[in-house]
Amino acid sequence: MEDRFDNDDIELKRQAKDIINNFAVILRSTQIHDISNVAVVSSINRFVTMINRLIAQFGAIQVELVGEYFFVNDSRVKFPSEYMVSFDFLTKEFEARGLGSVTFNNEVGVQDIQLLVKAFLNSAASVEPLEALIEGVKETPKIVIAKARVHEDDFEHDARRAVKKTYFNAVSFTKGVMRKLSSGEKVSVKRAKRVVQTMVDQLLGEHELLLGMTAIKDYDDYTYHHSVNVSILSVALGQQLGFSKRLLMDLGLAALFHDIGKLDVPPDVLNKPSEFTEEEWTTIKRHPFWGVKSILDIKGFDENAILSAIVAFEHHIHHDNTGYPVRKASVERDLFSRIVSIVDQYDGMTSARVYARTPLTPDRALKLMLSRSGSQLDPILMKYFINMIGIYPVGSLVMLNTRELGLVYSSTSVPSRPKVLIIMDTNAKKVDGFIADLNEKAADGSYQRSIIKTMDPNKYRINLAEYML
Amino acid sequence: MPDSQDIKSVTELLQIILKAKKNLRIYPSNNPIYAKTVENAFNKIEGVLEYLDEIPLRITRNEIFFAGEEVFKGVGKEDNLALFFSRDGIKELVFKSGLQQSEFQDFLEIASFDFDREDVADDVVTLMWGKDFQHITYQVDESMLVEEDEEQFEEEAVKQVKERSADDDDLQKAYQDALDSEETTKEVKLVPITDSDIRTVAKLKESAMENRTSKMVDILYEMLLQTQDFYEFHEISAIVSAALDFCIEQKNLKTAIEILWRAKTFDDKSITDFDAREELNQIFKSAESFEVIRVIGEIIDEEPGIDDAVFQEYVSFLSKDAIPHFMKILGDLKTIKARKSIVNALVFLGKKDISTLVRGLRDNRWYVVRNIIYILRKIGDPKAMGYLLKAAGHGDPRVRKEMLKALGEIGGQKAVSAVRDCMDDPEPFIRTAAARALGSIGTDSAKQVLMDRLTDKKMLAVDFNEKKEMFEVLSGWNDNQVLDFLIKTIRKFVIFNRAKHNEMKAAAAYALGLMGNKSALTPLDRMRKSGNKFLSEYAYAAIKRIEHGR
Amino acid sequence: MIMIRGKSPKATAYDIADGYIIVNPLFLKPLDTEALKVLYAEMQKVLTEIRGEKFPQGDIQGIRKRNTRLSKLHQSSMVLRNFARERRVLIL
Repeated sequence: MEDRFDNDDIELKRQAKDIINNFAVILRSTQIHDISNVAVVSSINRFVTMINRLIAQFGAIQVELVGEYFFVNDSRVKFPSEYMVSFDFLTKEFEARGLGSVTFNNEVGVQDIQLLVKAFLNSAASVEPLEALIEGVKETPKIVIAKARVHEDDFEHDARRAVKKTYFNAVSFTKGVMRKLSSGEKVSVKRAKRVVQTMVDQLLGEHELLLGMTAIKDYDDYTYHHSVNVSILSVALGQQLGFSKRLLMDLGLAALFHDIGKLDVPPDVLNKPSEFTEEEWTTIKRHPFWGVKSILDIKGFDENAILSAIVAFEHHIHHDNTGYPVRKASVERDLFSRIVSIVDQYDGMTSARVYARTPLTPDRALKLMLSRSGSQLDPILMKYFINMIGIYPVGSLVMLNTRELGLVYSSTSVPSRPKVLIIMDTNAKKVDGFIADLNEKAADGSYQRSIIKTMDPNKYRINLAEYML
Repeated sequence: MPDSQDIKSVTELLQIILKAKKNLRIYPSNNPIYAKTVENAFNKIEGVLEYLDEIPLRITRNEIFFAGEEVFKGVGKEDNLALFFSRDGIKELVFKSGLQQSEFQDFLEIASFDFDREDVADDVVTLMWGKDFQHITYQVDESMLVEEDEEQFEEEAVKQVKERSADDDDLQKAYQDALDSEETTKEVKLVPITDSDIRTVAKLKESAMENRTSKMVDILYEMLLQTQDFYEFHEISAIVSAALDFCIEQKNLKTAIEILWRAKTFDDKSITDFDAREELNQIFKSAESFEVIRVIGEIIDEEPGIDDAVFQEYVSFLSKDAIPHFMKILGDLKTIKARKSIVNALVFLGKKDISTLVRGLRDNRWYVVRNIIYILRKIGDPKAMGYLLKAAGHGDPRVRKEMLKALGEIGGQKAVSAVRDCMDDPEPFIRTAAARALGSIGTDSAKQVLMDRLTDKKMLAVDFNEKKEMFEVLSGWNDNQVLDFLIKTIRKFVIFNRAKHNEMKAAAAYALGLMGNKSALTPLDRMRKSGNKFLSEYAYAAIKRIEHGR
Repeated sequence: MIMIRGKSPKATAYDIADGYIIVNPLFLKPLDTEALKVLYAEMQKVLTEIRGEKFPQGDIQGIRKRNTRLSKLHQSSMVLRNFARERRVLIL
């Protein structure tokens, strides 16, 4: 169900909320007053005028309830807070009757609406309310009642929507922050905390889904996606390490701002497709320094600011104290910095960059990172990280023994048997993406599916992200 | 289904919560009314939850609804419970049965915040989120978080991703390649986490929590060395100053000292095109600004305060510019401990600049003046003499007493003159203190002053104890002149005012006893046999003293 | 000259210390900004005075009384401060 964006729609959206509000008001008042009551009558008249005007403009008008939202002609209706009570009420009325949609096919008259209202009233007490409702409007062909559509995987669907929303919320928020900082505007730290909190909640709940979103790597908006991905992955790693909710939020917040110093790097240097010169490289290596400055400018000193500044400064310093910025004294890096270093490298390697359009597979990336364990990266944290990413990292392209092609969707308790999103079936036909759990066994006790090969999804422009959205 | 009785209960509950909110803002947490308020509110909500399993509340901008009925309506910003929650996007709040009092108290404390009047780092949602309530859930309208221009972002982004996705050909190729290629083995193996790994991580977590501020300071000083021009250096020094302010606010004097120490020992050899030291001075200026000193004063005044050694270390970095600030807060401090600390600080700093310090002698609070005199005394600088003398005639005797002590220690001819004037002070303890001051000064002229006083007729009128004290001080000189004087005194032949003169004699005898000189034995013996009980007692005691040594 | 319920601020402060007056929003409501500031200042003075008195060593009753007076003044000061903050009056 996609929202459309043309001028007509904007007009429809505007009026839609009033229609629904009005209808709710009518129903409510008839629960108290008689249908011939003056107030009720005038509401009905008002409704008739409104809906007929719309019907004249748009043809049939359908009011549908899907989940907890109302849609008018497939366009989701947003309402101001003053209407909340009416919308709530109408939602409950619909749900109580198992009602899906009411369609007004043609211009209606007052009697048609009165019929509808009476039908609502009568169906309230009925054993089969929907049937009673349909029965009640039988006499008018202009109004059609339909059942609520049952969504399979409704929970899954809702969860995915929520996760999607959170992810993009975070990305656009990060984009907004960068923009504001560049123009010297104030940044809302409170809001940043809210964004990170939601991410933490979802990671604690629907762990895999949010992790799956990190498969979205966008090299145009690389910096923003990268910041959010690093934040998500850091929180996930933090969770492995047993951090509390509060600590996870602190970590997520610090990780979100780790690259903020890049704002001070001239864009043509940052986005250069070819190799950096000595001078350009020196400039880039200053971004931790600039990051500290920016962060402490945003809100001065408090615990979170200090944390974020430390991470911004240290995240390119290696475990063996090489890296940059070069430090005179040999100091132990903060735990948070170590986490972000690892995650930062991983996401960087697995993303398409301006200078490396084909990224490494998660597998390759991990292998490369392993070779740096102990020198660049903290060896113990690497262990946790590898265990978290799993043998088959989310987004890997795999061939199963059933000759099905799929993408690893999420991990399970058995690392070698994740959930796989099947994209091509045994007959090499494209499939609409169903999820198979490789832990499932056949009647004889053997596993139904197993992974036999892994490949590079980027070679074929296959991306898990598009199936998640 | 909730009935009208339930709706009434919930309405009452919300009023109780509103009242609790106000009470928790007025009374400190250790006040019995505070505790009673919480208990009251909890009892009410527990009662309601006994009948209903849960209390779901729908919140709009200015109203709260329960079971479709309005149970609260707020007007304007004040006392508007609905607005308090709806402002941060909370559209639903549910209380579930099983709610504990501690949980509810945490909730009430959050509800009692006033974001207009206080600077709180987190909003209501974050605060509640942090508490992780088990029996209180909330629903947030996330759209409130999204700004207008960001609304369409999701749609746009999704569109872009789908544009780049694989087409059928890509998929076919992938499938084919997959079939043709060989079976791959996993390159990366999972590694077991050992106990030692878990312990290391735990240790890292712990040490990370401790003093991150100190780490931040480290980084800032590293950055100072990495600055590329004057402007950057200036910016970073300003941040270091801000860090110092933060440390003070957090009562973290140790890190504040670290900041100052590092500023002092900063190696600016690598910086050639501007004066780094000059720049770093702004950090010291910040450290001794009135604001900072005032906050330190408040911290010292509270329990448990600051370790005095740490505080004095901090003071060692300050300049004389801090003196007026310390003097100002000296008068406002409530505890003795705090005043002692500040006085010690001023003793240290005052050595650098007495003239600022002496201005405090003009303060209208007697205890401030007294403290200043004490400080001057401890510093021991003779230059302070002139100023002290001005305070000689101070209205409060406690001040005069302290001043005499100071004069006694500093000494000098001018001191003697000033002290002599005090010998006529109306307060006896001042006169005694003056005598002691003379003893302290110890010069011949001081001795002369004392002896003059003792021969003065006014001496007769004073209390016997005072007489004794004076003579005792005189005995401190322990020379022949004093010896002669005392013997003369006890031998004096009197007719009038015998009682008073006898007191003088007894006091003199006492002094002779203290001096321990055997040549006094004969006259003392005569006194013993004088027939006057009072005199012979004192004489006897003195003789014994001399005979048996001190 | 500011009067609170017919008494001087200083006398009121002593009354608070001795428990004759309970400081709560009801009591504070009729006071204007000036009165609040003056009363607060007087309360601090009385606090200093009590602290400055010789400590009644060994006298259990005396110690208890001293503590009670200090505690009453202290708590009441906090209530006054919080009340003033709600009214947006600045008390330094």
